[in-house]
Amino acid sequence: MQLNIFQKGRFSKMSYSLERISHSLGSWHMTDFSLEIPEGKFVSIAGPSGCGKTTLLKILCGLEEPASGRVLFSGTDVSNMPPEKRGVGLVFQSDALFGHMDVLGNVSFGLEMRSDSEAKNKALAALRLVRLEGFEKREIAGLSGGERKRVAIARAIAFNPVLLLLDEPLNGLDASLREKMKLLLKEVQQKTGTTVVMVTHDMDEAFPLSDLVVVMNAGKVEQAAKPEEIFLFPATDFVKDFTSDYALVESKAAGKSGKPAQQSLSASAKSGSRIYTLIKKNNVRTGK
Amino acid sequence: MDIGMGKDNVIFLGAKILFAVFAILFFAYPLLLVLSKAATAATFGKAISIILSKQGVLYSSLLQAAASTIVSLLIGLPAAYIIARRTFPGKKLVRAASLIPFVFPSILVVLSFVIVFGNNGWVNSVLRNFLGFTGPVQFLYGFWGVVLAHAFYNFPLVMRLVGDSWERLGSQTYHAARSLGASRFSLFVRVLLPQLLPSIAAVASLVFIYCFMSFAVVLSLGGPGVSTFEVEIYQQAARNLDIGTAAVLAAFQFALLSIPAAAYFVFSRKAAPADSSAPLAPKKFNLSKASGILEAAFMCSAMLFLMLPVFSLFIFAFTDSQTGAVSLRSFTKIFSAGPSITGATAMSSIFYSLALALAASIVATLMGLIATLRQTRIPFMGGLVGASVAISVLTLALGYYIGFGPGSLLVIAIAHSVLAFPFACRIIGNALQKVDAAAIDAARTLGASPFAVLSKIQLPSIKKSIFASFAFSFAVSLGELGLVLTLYDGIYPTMPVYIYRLVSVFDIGAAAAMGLILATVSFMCFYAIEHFSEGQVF
Repeated sequence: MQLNIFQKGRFSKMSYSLERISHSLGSWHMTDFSLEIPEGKFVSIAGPSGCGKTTLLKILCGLEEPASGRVLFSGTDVSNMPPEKRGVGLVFQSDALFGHMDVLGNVSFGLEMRSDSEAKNKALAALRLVRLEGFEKREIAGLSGGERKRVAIARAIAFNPVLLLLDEPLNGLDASLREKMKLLLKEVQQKTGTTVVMVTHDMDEAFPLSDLVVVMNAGKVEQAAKPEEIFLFPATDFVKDFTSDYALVESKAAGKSGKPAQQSLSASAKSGSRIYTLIKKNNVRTGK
Repeated sequence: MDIGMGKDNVIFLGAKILFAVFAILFFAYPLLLVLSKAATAATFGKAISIILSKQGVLYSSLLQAAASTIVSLLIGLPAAYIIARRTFPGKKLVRAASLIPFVFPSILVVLSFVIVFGNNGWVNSVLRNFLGFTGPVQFLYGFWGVVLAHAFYNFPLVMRLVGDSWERLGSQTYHAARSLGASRFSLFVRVLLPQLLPSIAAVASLVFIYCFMSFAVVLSLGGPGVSTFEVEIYQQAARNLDIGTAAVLAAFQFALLSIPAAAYFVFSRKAAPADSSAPLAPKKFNLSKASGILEAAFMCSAMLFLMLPVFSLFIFAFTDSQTGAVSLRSFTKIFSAGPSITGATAMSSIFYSLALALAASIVATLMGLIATLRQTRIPFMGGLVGASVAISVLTLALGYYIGFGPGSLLVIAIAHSVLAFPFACRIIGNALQKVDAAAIDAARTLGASPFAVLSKIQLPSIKKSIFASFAFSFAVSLGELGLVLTLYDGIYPTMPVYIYRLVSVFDIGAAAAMGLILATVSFMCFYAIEHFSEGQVF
């Protein structure tokens, strides 16, 4: 296997939790915030802008130190550990690529910081994973939006992070590119087995990708559940309102020949299993 | 957890301590010495009479600085209009010329003005030989000579700073006013001028400060009755050895200058125009109209005025003063002459200057970097850099004199680095601010320590600005006269001191030869600044 450098379970029994975090940033406050992130899963944090999603990511990777409370990695308190020691990969909303380095320089950066002797090979493998073979020597300035995003993802996974954080990774990409990137993100998560936390304001993105969706509002968790449960059993009025633009359609996978449209995303849909389809209510027309 | 004294913490703590030593020992301490000396001076009454007497230094400084500022604006503002609204060949070069006040040593301005406007200068020889004047027309030595030299020095600054604001003025207010029926005159007075006023006021404050603190020009051209605080401080401290009186003068000047310095601070923050729509595109000179010809002629004259010193130095240095033929005599003369007049041989003078400038620019750039890095978080940096606008060279020189005495070349290098420090801060600080903050965060999450962020992300991104800061500091040190003259007179004659002494004994040919060498090095700095800063110094 070409991807054997991404060993699954390097940190087996790893779990990540935020324990009674209190923090404030300007007029925004978060009090007694707690969250458990299960290992190896794809977790989405969804909520309106300004609800504290990005701050949460920064607290997880150490760029922001919480005023009180603890960040625990496998029971170890890492609250005061600087970001460079945590081994958490973060894909920034703005990509934050290093303009003075080429693509390979960007992707191997994390490995070089760890004096990894296999830096180049591992970086190339990460580039293969995001389908950017042959881009090693390209300048950052010459890349398209989608290519930049993929370099950012490759850079964040190349050093085999214990946790991969995605800050609105599909923002600013055009519609068809977003769909392709969704598939790529899912694939990356499955092939590397890394625990992923993605921040988004869009249920369109959270729903198909996630094992767990956390709906946040004003620094609080409104509900944390499987994606379909968020729609079927909204826990609070806020969640009900936040999801009110969508309708969930439940169906069953048909026999061998029946291939539901969203098959490609729900890769494990076997005959007889339940299939949930999310539709935007505004995208529905009635006819005769 | 791992938050103990890592290698990085030690490096940045060391940098902070280094900066604290620099700021306290070489900036705050000398200034406090001057202030405390002024407060306890027995000659307080004498100093006040020098300042306040009829035709005293206060009257003379204010008059001279006000006149110089007005003349600089009279030349600079039309030039700003042309820079903003016209395209013409060589415009980039004209714009770059605004750096001249910072990099062209003031002693060379004096020298070239003597060559062109002096009693035996070009203008007078034309008057004598072609227009039948009998005696020289005396106007260089005295009030108007000083004002003329200051205008040369400062109009490019007006042109650049106001021109930049003018160029950025949005077109929407302009078009709106015209569609509402405004005439060209009321458009200018009621729409454009109010938007430009803050930047005009800011640059006028700055020019006033520079002219008020002028040293070399006033020392050489001022003559009796035209003086500045700087010249008077020099006379009292270095000539009369009356440190108390000099300190009172310095403290008085500092208090006075804090007013225009505060004005500069306030106006420069308001200088961004409110209309952010796309600006009007500049047009070519319309040479079929009288106004267009006038504009082109004005710009040509202004540029001629600006280029004159360089040309005159060049021509004079290569001319035999007796025969008028092209010759290298002035050069062979300075390199074969002993140190009797100048205090050192030409070679050692060049060596002192270059060594000083090298040390000063390394220190200034390093301190500028430490002061503006986010890893070090130096408090009150804005205030420190802002205050340094109002602190004059001679005040600093006096503080060093009291604190360290006539000392080593190293101390004078540090004094020069203090003078260059605000420029280094501005150049490097601006560049650091442009480094993507998210890229720095990204590097941290990828495992880069704060020092690795500096060496792998920040430094590679601001490489050019480091060079620009270095070149700027080099030029500042290279052209500085007042501090060296006060502190180390007779021991280390730098190139400006060497030239000043030759000008004093009217050996203009030899002075021009050394002047050309100094000008060449200064222009190399100038070129480096332009090249590396990509026109972004201001």
